[in-house]
Amino acid sequence: MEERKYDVVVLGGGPGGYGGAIHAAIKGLRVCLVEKDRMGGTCLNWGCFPTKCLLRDAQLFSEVRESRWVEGELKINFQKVIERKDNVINSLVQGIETVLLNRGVTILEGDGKFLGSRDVIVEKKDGSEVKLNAERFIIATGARLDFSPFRPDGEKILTSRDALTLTKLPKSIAVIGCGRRGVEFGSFFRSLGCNVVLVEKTERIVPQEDIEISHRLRRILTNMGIKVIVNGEAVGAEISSEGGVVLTLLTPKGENKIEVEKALIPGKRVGNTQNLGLELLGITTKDHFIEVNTKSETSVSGIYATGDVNGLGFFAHKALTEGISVVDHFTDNSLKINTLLIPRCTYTSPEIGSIGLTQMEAERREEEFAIGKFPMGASGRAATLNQTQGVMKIISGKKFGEILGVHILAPQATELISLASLAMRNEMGIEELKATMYGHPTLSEAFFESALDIGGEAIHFLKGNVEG
Amino acid sequence: MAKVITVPRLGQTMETATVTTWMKQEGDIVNKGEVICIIETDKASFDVEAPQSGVLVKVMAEEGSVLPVGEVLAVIAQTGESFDLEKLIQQAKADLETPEAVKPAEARTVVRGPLPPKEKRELKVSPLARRIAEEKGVTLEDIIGTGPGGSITKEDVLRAWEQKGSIPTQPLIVSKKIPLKGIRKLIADRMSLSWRTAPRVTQVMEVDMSEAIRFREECWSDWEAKGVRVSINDILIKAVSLALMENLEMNSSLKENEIEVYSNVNMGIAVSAERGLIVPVLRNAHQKTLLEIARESAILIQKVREGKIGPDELSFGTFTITNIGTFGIDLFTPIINPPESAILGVGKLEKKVKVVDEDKIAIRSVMNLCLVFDHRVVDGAPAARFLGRVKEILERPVQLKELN
Repeated sequence: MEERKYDVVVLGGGPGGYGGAIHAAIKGLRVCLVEKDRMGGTCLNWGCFPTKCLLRDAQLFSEVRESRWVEGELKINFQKVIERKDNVINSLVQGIETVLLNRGVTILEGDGKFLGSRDVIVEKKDGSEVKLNAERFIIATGARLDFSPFRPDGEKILTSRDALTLTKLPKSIAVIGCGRRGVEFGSFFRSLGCNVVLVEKTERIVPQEDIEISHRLRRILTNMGIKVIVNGEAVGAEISSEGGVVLTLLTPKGENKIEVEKALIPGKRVGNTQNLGLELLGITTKDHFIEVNTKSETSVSGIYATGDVNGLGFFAHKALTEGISVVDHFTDNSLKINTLLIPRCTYTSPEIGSIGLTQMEAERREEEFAIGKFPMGASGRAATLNQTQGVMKIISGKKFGEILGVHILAPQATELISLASLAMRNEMGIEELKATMYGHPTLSEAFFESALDIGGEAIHFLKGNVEG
Repeated sequence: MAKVITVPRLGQTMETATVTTWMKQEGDIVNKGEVICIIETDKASFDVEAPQSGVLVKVMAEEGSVLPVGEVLAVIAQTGESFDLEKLIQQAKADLETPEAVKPAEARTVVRGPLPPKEKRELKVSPLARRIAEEKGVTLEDIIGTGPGGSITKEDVLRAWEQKGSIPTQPLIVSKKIPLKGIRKLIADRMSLSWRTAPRVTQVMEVDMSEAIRFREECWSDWEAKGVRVSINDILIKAVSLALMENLEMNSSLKENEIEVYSNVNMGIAVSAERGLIVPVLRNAHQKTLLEIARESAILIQKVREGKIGPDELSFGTFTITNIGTFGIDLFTPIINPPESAILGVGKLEKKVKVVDEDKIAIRSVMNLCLVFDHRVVDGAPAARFLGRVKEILERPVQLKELN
């Protein structure tokens, strides 16, 4: 059997893997990256990127269609939308591969499995095997989706991957589960004119977000014409005689049935920890996710787990940061990963960007806190964009004025949240936000206004005049 | 021509010197022979003189810095002259073995300056970490930062704080410095004078105020009709004034070799104002009715609180009453307000179970009167008589009625 020796072997070519691989190569280490499928992982191929492509087109279409200054009928070519997405993805995947190769990373196509704490065996596509020996390993095998109790058929009951490859737009679609991805899909299909039903088993949509954001988004989605059902658990899906899907919902009022053309199951993430030989090494897992410390180190020294597979959050940016940080850890130079400082991005229209504590979480702490808000209705920039729905909400500690959490429901909220991330990572507070100059008119001025609002001193916003 | 001034070798064993004081600043014109700075070795301190006239164009060492022999202290050049600093420094170092005669002007007794400061480290500190460190009194200089670029984070500060067992690394944290001037200075001087000069004795007597309170309640509506609110303190002023007139030795001042005994009572009333303790004086209290006293004292107190009291209203007191019973103080020993000979401290008025006539138990309102007097002027027995008289006036309804 062929044997090779490296400084670092990375299992998985998603952001948690390729980020670490590129960074390690830059640091002069010999790196081998093992990926069984396409480079870029879930994010690039089936997650963030394709959905963001589709959402952008859908939102642009809907915005133009609803504007008063376009005359005549607008039609969408859905086939072309999908094509554009495929082109974007292909070029980005190629881009990653190019960077990896130019940085000197060896890419190996196949499945990797641990033989010992310093050896991995890779079964290549052609059936041959290579043994890789290294001092360090990064497990970045990602997560798969669990759709139980549903059985997606690719036709009527769709997974998110199926939804990304549809060639024809359905007339109606139900999305089961209103986490981030659920509401994004709902927003997407509605923007293109489908009748959309969102079904959520908890009492509110995007339940991981601040409750105010959940409520506001629900109102906005409802106004878009989406039917939102909360406290509803979908327990069954059957194909009706007309060829549609009949969903059985359990609600506090009893059982309920709705019929739609297609049902979309975003599913629940489960770590890809099987067939890696983890048990052999004694790497501990919990609920199918690999347990790690704040430096992404597993229970076996020299072996790290980054990205979705460690279960600490399902964000590409978190995976990327971990991958880079792990390599720095080899040289004892890494920064801790603070999971509280992972920005959360949801690409609905308007978008959600949030970071840190929600108001409910802040209430559970003993320290006193203050809240500053700025409604997008008071933002001049939002008015020029014709997108005045939403709010920015900053939660800060009363004693030191530190930022505890920022919640943005606004156009470009996913961009805006980086400003909060920068401030929080560097422990800047309300005073620093107030002392900073922002372009005018911009959406980011909301930081200035929200910070001022804590003392009731906002410039462009009078409480009571605009819905706050 | 530009010339560098280096740390001179002043002795065989001398290795380094500390720059203690710069007599000239960068940009100053200096004359040959003028002292430009003072340096100090472990033996003595020395003046460094200007080797030539010119402009002190560059000062290279901060006060407190320790420099090895031969290190550049400063550069003197002529106006408008350009020079290559690096070259000059190298030249100076090369010349170290055959130094220019920079002779110490005089050797003086060693006066050690402050220790040279620790080498300054560029501190990167997050704003939040800085705020927390300030609040908890944690010194940032000793903390190793773990944040981006080695910056000190909140977590680092809290860790340092916990490791020190939450004892602030600065033993004292000065929140502000108040200059000892104005009224504070005056109080300080007068209290020190009193404490230094007057050998004082304290006598405490419990007074049953039940009758006085009843008296006040009975008269309240009458007084109110006249627009006056009479306080317990006003009743005290009246009672004390009466007792003083009967015991004039308490109403006196020691002036050098004689004791001045006064036949009028100018009653000082200690008032706590924002600026500090102020004692306005109610003149001729012995001649005034209770209502007059109440009216005037209210005006005086008001003036003090508004900062409108004039110097005349603060002078010529013969005795002082200070009441901090309202703060819950049972008894205390006030300091005599010089040049007076005595002061009366009033404690908290409260209800207590007392044994009254014929061994009965009753609930009575009582308080302590604390008389502090200058034993140079008054002896214990007359002072006790005076205090007893005050007690008597306050406890007997007949006497009280006469106050009105």
